[in-house]
Amino acid sequence: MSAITCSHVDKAYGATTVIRDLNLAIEEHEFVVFLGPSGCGKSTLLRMLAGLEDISGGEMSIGGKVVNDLDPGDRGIAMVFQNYALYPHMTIFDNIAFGLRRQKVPAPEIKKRVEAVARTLGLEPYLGRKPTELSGGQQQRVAIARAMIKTPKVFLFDEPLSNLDAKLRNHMRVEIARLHQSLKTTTVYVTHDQLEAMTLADRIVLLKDGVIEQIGSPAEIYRRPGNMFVAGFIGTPNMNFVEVTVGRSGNGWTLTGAGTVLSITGQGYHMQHGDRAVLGIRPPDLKTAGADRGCNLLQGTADLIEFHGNDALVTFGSGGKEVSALVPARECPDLCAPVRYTFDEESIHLFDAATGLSLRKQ
Amino acid sequence: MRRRSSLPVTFLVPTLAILLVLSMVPTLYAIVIALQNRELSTPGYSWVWFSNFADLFLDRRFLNAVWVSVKWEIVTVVATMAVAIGLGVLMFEVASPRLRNVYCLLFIIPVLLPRVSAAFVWKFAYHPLYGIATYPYRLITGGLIFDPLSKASTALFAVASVDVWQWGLFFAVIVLKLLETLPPQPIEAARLDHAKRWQIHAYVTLPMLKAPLISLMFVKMIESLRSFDLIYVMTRGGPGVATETLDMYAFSQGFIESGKVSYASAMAVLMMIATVITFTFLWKRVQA
Repeated sequence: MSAITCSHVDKAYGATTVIRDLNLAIEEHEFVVFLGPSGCGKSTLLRMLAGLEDISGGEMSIGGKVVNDLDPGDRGIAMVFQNYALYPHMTIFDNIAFGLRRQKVPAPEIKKRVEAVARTLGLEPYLGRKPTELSGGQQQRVAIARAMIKTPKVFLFDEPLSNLDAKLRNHMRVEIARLHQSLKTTTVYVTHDQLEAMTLADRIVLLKDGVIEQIGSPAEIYRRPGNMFVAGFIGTPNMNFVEVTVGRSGNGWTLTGAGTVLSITGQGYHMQHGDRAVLGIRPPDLKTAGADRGCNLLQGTADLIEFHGNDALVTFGSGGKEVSALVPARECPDLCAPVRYTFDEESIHLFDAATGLSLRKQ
Repeated sequence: MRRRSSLPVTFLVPTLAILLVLSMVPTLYAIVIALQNRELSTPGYSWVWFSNFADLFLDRRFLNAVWVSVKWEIVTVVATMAVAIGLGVLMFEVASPRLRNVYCLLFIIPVLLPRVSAAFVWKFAYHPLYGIATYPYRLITGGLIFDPLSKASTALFAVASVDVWQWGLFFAVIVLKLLETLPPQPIEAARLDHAKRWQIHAYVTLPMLKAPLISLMFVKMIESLRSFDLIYVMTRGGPGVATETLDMYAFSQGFIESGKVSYASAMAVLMMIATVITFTFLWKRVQA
């Protein structure tokens, strides 16, 4: 039995539809990340799960129970908000204990449970303080403690790390990952940060305009993006897209575009002679070509070089199209020098130019 | 540097001097008069020092006025805050944003009425034979007469209700606006934390608004001290001395009944001292 099921879920505000006919099943103990650009409906979907937004159509169930009309408190969920949402006038202890007190848990048991949770999250020294006396990271830990203490069936995280600085964000990300390893509670996590999604998720649900673009493990989504949107959204630096025309040549195929002709075997792709397609290739997959290499070249003049430390991102024009290659820093060419890059056929992606869908055979 | 530092002084000194003259001269003059035995009927006077104050504490009508003033203060402040919070929360919970604006507009109207007009409107409303406020009583009892303003037990509450009608409704609008300024997340977190609607307000929103609510209460406490016009129009301190507050009694001693302005001034000075001490004490308590 899956922990969360959404079937044909819709959400509309007046005439504007935010989420359209969404179907999703989340397994028990799974860590699922809703990822997408802002305004894609990922937070709305999470808030619908939490019961903070009405469900306009369809059915949502948590732990096998339909929750469409249940109060947020009765859904067996706990939520961590982006801005922590602590009760500012209460001490940390009272903040964590608030939910238990509302459920009329006896005081000695509350004390015991709050102390246990505080110990897990290293909050013991702060129990008597007010939220404003804590740093952002500590406040977020209090918010997590307040969620944990209810021993929910499902954890919901709404961009919990967005308000933290970069260093603290990395630290808290690791803590959340550890927490999930030890608690194994089903978790739904909303973020627009692909690094968080890639590192934390068992499965990523990539959303755009209220529609699921792709569901899959981080590796699947990275290696086999289902369409151009997913391919462009996941991976930094962004994937290069080159419009090409497909041609048949002997046993293989040629891709003509961006001032070059590339020949591939084309195995594993649906293609026809004369098709308009888009070739996608990630900057790290472009390799400096040796002088003897005569085919499958992307070449031009390096017009921008961004130094990243170990690597450098070289941007060059190829047949009027900007292409970037991520190369080891020691292979980095000089600015305005001619560059030649090549690739392995396994690392390319091909998409239908009209629909944007991947041409890969399933 | 010199020019910069002299500018504030140039602007502040004249205004502060005017303010000081306007506020301190009458105050000092009242204190001086309170130490004499002036009466409106005779031009002569002599210094009696504290005998006016001593007389006051033997005056049963004065002690009654103190008690009425305290009752008035407590009843109006508590009722106003209760109505304001109750209605504010109710509007926040039940009314749509559009409807809220309509209510806000309606609830501000009473406080815009001049006090004397409000007092007359309600005096008619409380009329035992024709008043709209007493109409339900006549209807239920088949024509029995009920005159809230001329019964000692109800007069104070009847007058206080007008005060609450004006300020309680106005404050309800302020409470609603305060609630609307609160961030929604703690409220949502409380909903996830199994809190019922009333618990969210009792434990989360109202404690978050503690500081502004206390300020509102102070405003109302000061405003309640200045209820002379309302009481004067509606009951003139009656029936008997049932609604005779300190300022009513001072006014009638000074100008209506006996023209004993020194005696009245002594009351005013006592009131001032009591007010300053009480408010300083309360303010310190709240700050702490």
